Amino acid sequence: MNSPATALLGRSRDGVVYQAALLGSFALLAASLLVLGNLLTRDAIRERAAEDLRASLTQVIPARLHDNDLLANPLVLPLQDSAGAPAPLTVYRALQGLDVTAVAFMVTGTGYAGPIRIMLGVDAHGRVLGARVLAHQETPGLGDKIEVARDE
Amino acid sequence: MPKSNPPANPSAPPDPAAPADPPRRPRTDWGRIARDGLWDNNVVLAQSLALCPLLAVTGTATNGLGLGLASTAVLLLSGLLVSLTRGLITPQVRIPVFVLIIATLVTLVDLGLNAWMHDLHRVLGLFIPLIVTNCAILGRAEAFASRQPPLPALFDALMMGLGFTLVLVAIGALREIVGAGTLFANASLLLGQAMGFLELTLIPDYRGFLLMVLPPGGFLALGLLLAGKRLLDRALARRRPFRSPRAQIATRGT
Repeated sequence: MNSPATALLGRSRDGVVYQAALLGSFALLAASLLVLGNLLTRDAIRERAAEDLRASLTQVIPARLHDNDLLANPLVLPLQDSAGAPAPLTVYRALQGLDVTAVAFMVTGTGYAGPIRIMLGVDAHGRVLGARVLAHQETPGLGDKIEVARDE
Repeated sequence: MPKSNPPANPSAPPDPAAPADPPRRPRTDWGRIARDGLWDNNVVLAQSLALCPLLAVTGTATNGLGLGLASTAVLLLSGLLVSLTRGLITPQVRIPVFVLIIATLVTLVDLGLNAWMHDLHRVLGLFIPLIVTNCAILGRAEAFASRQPPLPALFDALMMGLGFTLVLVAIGALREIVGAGTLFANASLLLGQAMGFLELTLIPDYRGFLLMVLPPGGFLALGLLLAGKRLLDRALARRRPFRSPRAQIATRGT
């Protein structure tokens, strides 16, 4: 009964088999819970992200300039960054009938503590319609007032 | 990582105090749990845990409250799950199992908030991944929930979470008042428009003291708070000459 094999496999909870099975089953359970959670929330999260994008687009393109869904049929320009790596730019178009009245796209500038990503709206004559900061790492209480929500 | 519970030697016979074999207590001392969580064995003030998320986000009292509430929710869930599975988990693999449970919970809470409470997620989203870095949750799973039935474990998680939240709000408020002259700025973003009355401007036309808003201010505020607790504890101990040995063990931390 006390052969090395039984010591290794273990009759009880101290055995290697029990430990491995325990850890394995917890990992399996955690992984299946995460997959389930991802499946349950994937569509809702995608909708929320689209809503956020639409909200930032309507802030830079006035509603009177378009009668289409701003998120429909975006144009993807195959641009390259300064190092030559592909950096596609998504351009959202505001249409009135079939005429493009304005476009909105994301631009990136260099901030104090990192890049500042801005959604920029431009009309057909090249005039800037509006700009909203989407993401930044500026100093709290000082530079972060570029966010509309934090600007007094 | 708490040090008070050295891992059992795998080759040694099972330790009678190991989490796999919970000691049967005659009754649970609920008042003791509450006192430990809120003051005597407070996550930050006594155990010095969870300092990474604490210093990172307490620029304002509102941010502190947000992180505190999110951490309390995860503490409650992980305490319940660890307590329910405490009969299965062996000392040798308990740490990876606890980490798995906590990381899964945090990810699920993040996904759920993002999908169904998106406005709250926009404010709290920054804090939720930080909860994984909060070793206090692993510490409570290890030191308390893995040896106790679910109800005391839940109560302990609630009290530890409340104690953590109180410290976060206190440090956030101190930094915000000194740094920006306001209190609970942007609270309506977190709690809804109804709580907008919390937003106070205490010092009008204040030019701001940026140091307190930046990370060094977190260390300064934490140091002041720790010194304050020491002074208060010492004054209390002087008034009460005999401290029970249990209280002394508790303040030494887990």
